[in-house]
Amino acid sequence: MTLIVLGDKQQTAILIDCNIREAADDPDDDTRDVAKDLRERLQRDSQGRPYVDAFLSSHPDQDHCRGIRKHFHLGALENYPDDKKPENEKKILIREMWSSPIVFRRASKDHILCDDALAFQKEAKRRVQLARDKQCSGIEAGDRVLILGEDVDGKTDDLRAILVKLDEVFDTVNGAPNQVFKARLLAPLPMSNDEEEEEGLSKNHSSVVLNIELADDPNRRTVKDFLTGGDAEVLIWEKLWDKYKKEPEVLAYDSMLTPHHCSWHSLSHDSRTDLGDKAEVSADAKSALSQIRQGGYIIASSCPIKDDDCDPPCHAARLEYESIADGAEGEFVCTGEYPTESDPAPLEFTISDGKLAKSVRKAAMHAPAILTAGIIDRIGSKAAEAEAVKRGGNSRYA
Amino acid sequence: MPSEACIMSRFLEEGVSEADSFLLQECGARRLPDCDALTVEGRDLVAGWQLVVQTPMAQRRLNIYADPQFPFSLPHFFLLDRPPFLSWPHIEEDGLLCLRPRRVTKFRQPDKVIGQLLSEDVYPLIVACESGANQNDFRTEFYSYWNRGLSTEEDMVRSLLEPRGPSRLVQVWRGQTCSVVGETEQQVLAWLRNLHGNEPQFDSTDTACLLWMEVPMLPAEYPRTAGDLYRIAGSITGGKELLARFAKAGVSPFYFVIGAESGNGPCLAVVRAYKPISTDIRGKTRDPANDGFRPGKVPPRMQTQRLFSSDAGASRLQVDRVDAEWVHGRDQDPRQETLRAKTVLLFGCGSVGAPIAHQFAMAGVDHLILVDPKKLSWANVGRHPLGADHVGSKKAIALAEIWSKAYPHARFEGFDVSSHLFLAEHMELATKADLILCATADWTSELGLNFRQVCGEIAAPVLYCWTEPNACAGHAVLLFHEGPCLQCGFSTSGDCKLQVTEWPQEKELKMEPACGAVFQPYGPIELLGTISVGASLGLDGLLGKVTAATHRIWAGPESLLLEAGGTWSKAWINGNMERSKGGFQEERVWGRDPLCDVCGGSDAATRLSSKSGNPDNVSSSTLLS
Repeated sequence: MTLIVLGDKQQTAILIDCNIREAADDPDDDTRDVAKDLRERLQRDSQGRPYVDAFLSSHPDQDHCRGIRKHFHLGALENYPDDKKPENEKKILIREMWSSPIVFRRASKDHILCDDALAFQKEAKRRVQLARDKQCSGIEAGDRVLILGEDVDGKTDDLRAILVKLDEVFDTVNGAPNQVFKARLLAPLPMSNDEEEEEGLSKNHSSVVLNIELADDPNRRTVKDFLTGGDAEVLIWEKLWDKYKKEPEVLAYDSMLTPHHCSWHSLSHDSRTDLGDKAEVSADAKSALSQIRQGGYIIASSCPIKDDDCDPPCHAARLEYESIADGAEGEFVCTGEYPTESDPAPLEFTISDGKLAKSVRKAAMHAPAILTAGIIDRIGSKAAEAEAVKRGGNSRYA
Repeated sequence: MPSEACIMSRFLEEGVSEADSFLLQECGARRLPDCDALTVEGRDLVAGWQLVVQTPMAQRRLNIYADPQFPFSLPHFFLLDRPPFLSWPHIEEDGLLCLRPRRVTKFRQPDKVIGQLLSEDVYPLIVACESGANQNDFRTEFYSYWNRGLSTEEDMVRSLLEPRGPSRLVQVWRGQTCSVVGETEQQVLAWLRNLHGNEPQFDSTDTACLLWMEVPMLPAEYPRTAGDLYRIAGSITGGKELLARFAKAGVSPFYFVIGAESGNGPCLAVVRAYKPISTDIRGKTRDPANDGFRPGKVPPRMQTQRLFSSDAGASRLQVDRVDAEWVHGRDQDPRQETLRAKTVLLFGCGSVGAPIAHQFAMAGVDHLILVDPKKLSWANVGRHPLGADHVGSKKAIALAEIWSKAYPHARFEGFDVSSHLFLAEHMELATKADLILCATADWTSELGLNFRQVCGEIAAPVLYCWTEPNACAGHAVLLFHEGPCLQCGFSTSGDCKLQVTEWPQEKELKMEPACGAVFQPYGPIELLGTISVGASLGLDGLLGKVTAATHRIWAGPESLLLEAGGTWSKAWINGNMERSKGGFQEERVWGRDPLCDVCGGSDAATRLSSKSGNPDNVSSSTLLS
């Protein structure tokens, strides 16, 4: 789950995927309450409803959309049910959905959707239908959808206004151009006529891959790129390298979320279970993922990475990414280990003053407690004794 | 000594640290990254915290920020979870809470400052907003909300209107970036000509409409179309009839002034409505107001409805009041009603008369007639309201010109003649005066004026003002037709009987290197005491607070007197040694002299009056003898 808060006046928020386990919602469980972490970083609209300006679903795997039914409002805005609920129980509005066309496809044996994914698909379909009905104009926040990539058989041809084609650069968020945001759509790649290749490109492999350009503010004094690729695996990266090796700047990044939670299979076709250390890294895939800029960050969104047989996250993949980061005097960071394995907390980065920096304080920040009228009264009566402020304006004028 | 910057940085650091401990430990706040504070647009903030406040209706996030002057300055509170701007009063576009005026008294206890503000101002404000209990504040502080988002540079309206009902037709002069509304064409054009000169575009005005409401509009009621104006007019007694007259007399765009009593004085707003225009399927422009009728044949009621319909756009404009009531006292000065009807005639626009007259103009006197034949010289510039750019200009004419620009709602007339000639040629103006200020310090002209007052030819009170040598003392004497006259307190040679100061002869007058060019070497600052007694006594006379002959004296500080080489006179000290320090004003009765040559008994006055008939026939030498 990645939240991007843009440096514009509105502090536009873009959420990439969502993985909120039930354990995280259980106050008696020690699992970090990531829903709370998310909520306290979101703005409220005029009616006090928390919202994200855009929600990008990279692909519909459960670990990328878990908790969406519980924590997000899916449906028309007029049916928002939580206005009278406490702050922490209000569902989060999605002003604009960003989705690959895979969500419109029927489930099949290769395309089995979990309940959260089905709910997301249903909402995306509702929004697409609304766009069709309104010929893609006059659609309000809460009903907007952006389709990242064309669907097969011209199914998205009539949705050009809400469609981003492969290789296109777009700069709109929630229907409005944004001066501090720009993104190039690198995947999902079009279906292949080669049956074997198509099998490799399907489902997990067909995640949305975006290289997102983020500026610190509308003056764009500092601009940094963030490469995110969902669970895209080795074939995708090989094809991307083949496509862009003559212009590798397209793939250059200052920070990158390792594909598929630091999986070996984003770097190699070989099975480590079968081949152990003889499993070879795909040179092309690694090249695609090595376009790190000086001082950049590679982030694994995963549990702590141990030197064991687990995959993902895979320790051997970590070593590969660390070698990429080291080559650019950069840093590899695992969210499950940050700041400590025993007490991980949200990892945050800030773009400012020419730098992309981990903002440690905010990452370690706790949620504010609730200040009730009683507490305010108590604080106020103590303060009133001190008469630290005096009513009235100046008694002297000039 | 550490530099000021270091000291202030240390205080800021300590203040933020104190606030941090308090907010985190006692309020459950969290510290915001400093970059958050720095990026709050348009605000100079350096550190911030976030609280969540549980109000009766919701949990709301509240950011608290310190500015670079913290802890000497108050912290700033921003409400994050709030309805759209203008739904709640006292909350700016970016969520900043506008709290009641407060001052920090304990800058070493920023925790207490924040605590007190939270409990006494911030929380009650949010609760009042939620419950709607403070909605009326939108009315009492109308301008704070109406003017939001309106540009004063691109388009605004200046108002000379009397800010009160009833609803009525008024006049507007339309400018490209600034228009002017007033009661009459004459008033509007005179104001424009005073301010900008007699330009050809100031030739006519159009009809506008003032709608006077019972209470100011709430933000939700701000007109967005001409139809909203129609509804407002409909809610006012006689409003629809007025609108019908306006539809007939006005031209598009139609200027509406909407006024009401706010509780903190009257407030005005302007809305400009456009004639509805539509295009047919061929793209041809149509006039919906006349649709279906031959030109001029639309029934009046229908025409009004069509002109001021929801199809016609309307834009809000900011109003800058420029009427006298606002300029002189922001509606809160009860003296203005009187002063707006007053005329002051000034003889002598020198270093005493001009500043006193300037005070009258600033105080709100409507009409000043300035009389002085002299030109401004370079040697005058150091102590005269006119500056080097007016050297060589006639003082009276130049003052009238610059004050007309400075106070375009008032009237100023300049005459470059002597008082004697002015009275001979413009007695009708003198008789209109409510006060005559004589600051010539010229016995001949003063005596003539005194004589005219005693005889009743001039009915207005006369205020005489002068300074003693080196401006170490000053006098203001206000005299009335019925009371003692100027001569009563003067010798026949023109010396005031009560001299505050005494001077060795060589110190009394300085000379320029020219024949008879004597002068007093005082500066503008020493003069202020004299100007003060003159202006205050004149104002009291205009307001009717002083109705009997009065003498106000300014005695300058002793140091000034000694430095200039003078001493206090025996008559002034008169055994009261505490007077020797100086630096005070004193008010005395200007007593009648029973032996006065001019007014010493009704017989004398009658005799003088009957013998002379016209005082111009009596030479000053006769009077002085």
